[in-house]
Amino acid sequence: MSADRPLRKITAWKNTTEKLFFILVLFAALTAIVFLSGIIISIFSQSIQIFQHTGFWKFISGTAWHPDQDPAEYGILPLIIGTVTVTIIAMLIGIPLGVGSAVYIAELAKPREREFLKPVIELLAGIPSVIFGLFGMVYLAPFVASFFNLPTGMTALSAGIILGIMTVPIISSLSEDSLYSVPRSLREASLALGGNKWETIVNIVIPAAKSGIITSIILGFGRAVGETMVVLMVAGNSPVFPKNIFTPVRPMTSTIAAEMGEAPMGSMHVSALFGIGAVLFIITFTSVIVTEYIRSRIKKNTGNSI
Amino acid sequence: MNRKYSVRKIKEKLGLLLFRAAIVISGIFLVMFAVMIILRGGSVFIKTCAVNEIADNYRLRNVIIKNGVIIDNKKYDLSINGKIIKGLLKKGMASDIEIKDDIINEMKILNLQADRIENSYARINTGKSAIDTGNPELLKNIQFCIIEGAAAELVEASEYIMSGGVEITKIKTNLVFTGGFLENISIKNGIIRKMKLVKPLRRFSLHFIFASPEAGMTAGGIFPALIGTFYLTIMAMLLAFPIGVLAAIYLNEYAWPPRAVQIIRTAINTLAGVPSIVYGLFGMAVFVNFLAFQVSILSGALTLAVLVLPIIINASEEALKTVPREMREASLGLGATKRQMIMTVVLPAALPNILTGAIIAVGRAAGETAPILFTAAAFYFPGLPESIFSPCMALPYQIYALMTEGTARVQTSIAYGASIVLLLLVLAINSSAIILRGIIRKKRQW
Repeated sequence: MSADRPLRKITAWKNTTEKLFFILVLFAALTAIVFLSGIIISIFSQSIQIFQHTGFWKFISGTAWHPDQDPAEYGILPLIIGTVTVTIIAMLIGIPLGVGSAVYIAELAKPREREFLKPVIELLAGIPSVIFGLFGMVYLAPFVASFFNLPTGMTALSAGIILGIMTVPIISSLSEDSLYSVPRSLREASLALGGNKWETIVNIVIPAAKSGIITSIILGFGRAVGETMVVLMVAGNSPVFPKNIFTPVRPMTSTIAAEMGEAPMGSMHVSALFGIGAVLFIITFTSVIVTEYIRSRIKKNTGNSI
Repeated sequence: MNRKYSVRKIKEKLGLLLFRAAIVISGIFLVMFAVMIILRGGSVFIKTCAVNEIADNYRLRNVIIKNGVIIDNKKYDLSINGKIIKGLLKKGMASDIEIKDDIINEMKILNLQADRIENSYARINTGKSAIDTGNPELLKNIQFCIIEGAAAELVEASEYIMSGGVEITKIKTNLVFTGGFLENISIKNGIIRKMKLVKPLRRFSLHFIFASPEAGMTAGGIFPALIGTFYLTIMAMLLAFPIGVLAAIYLNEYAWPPRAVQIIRTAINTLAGVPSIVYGLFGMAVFVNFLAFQVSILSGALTLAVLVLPIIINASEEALKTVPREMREASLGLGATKRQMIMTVVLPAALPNILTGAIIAVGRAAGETAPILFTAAAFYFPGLPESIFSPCMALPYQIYALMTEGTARVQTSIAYGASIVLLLLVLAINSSAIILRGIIRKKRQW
């Protein structure tokens, strides 16, 4: 029913209005490239200063972040470790809960349950992150502090938990879409061969929906890496190497948000913050490329049978 | 055979239980989340007013009255966050009043617009300036009314420890009234002559939504922040929506030349994945500094527009894809040009779905904080913005700023109130999109 391929045949191409309209929509589409290059140019041109000053490798492998000391040190490894720690915790929570609930909605829920749960999950995906941050600050952090008997609850663990919960609706919603679109015939074939529901789901449905699930996980990962407000409010803002998950950390995003206001215009500090932005951009760009690669590979492997 | 079967069965049961557990756990957490936010923040919507009495004589010794409102003994009209005060102090909310040995040692008056301070000895702190008036002898016939959220307490304590000037960490109580507030206390020679314990009568009030913040964000409402968010979102959508829809038309209807399409698609996917704080940096570098729009609504709206653009493009493209090929063919067959086909057949057919996507983008733009941190947001900018070149307050930023930069306790409850408003706003926007989509699916003819 859908137009898989656009109608290529261009009628009345001589007509000026037709041409102008094509040019208009082409330009609209080109704005995406304009904005992307705008982001790349603005971020990288501002961070050239710091890359020349400390060198790119030293910048990302330096172990001390002391922008306000004299001499200032700009090493973002502790910040990267902070991001990694928080993201790993988030993924440990987000992936099982997200994929698990997606399987439940797509495979086990009754139609009416599904009708209710599906929009609810979409709604939850839209909750602003600052509200999650508020929740983490006021409820989760004190709870973590008292439960593990810590001096402060603003830790990598708290931020990771909140981020994990935040990614559940994202992962769940997309995974559910791809699970639901697995053809009925595959399930029926498995059941007819004597597989039970669990075996069908684990051996047939999930592998068939693999590309969608992986995409959703990468999207959730991107969200967790790039999320600013939650980590700014909950992670404890301490730019040092975390000894364990019970210590405060400061991921890259929240460093930018927290220090940009204090850094003097045009200083090395500002450039270093843009440098962090550049590193974040590289991470997301890589994950986009990886996603596209995975998608195209899975398409090739499975062909068009599914 | 039989045994193997039962092991399989158990494995299946356990496995399926896992999936069920996943959704139950996520559900519990998210419900808990919503309930807690609403429980905490609900208080800002409750207007406290009052009835009922206790009258007695008590000697005032080491009494701490927290967050009181000084009012006239005859006429009063209370509203939460202390707005209307008549009599001795006009329009002031007294907080952190400490009375020790019959003398008010310290009293903070928030939002002071007092035209007359008399019959009182108080050191009044209004933010930075301190006013010293009166003499201790005149502490007579002063009327106190206390509200602290809904429940206030008058504590007559023989022992107490103060920390930070306000907090009571240890208290040995002789008398505690809670769940009510006190009014018409008249103190003469250090003895409470008259006192009324009033049980609060609570009423729902929208004052919080339609009032400006007062007293350095410790009282009042969130109206400017709401308006700021409204401006930012609407402007961002006005900029991004036409571009997004046109770009989607290009990708789905023309898709030529193929090489360009591929590059544009990669660009859109990348844009969709860029962290919002990087958008903030981009907005700061380009709109605020390079184009010299300063920190303004315009800069913020442009930044948000770039942020929601990929969302709108993707949603519009999906919408265009659902228009069946037959409709296009019919249109072309009747002699329409490609542009005419798109404008008169494809676009109207896809419009409801496009709008659904756009509404979701509105919800996203309204809730984003990081992109407006350096481009548009001001912590305290009361009154409504005059032009698109002035900074504005914004709801999500307000919540963050109140929680991290604020000092006073009351600010936490304002932050909660603001987050309820934001949450309801975003949920309303998104659910309208979902409902709209449901209607479209039911009505669809093809």
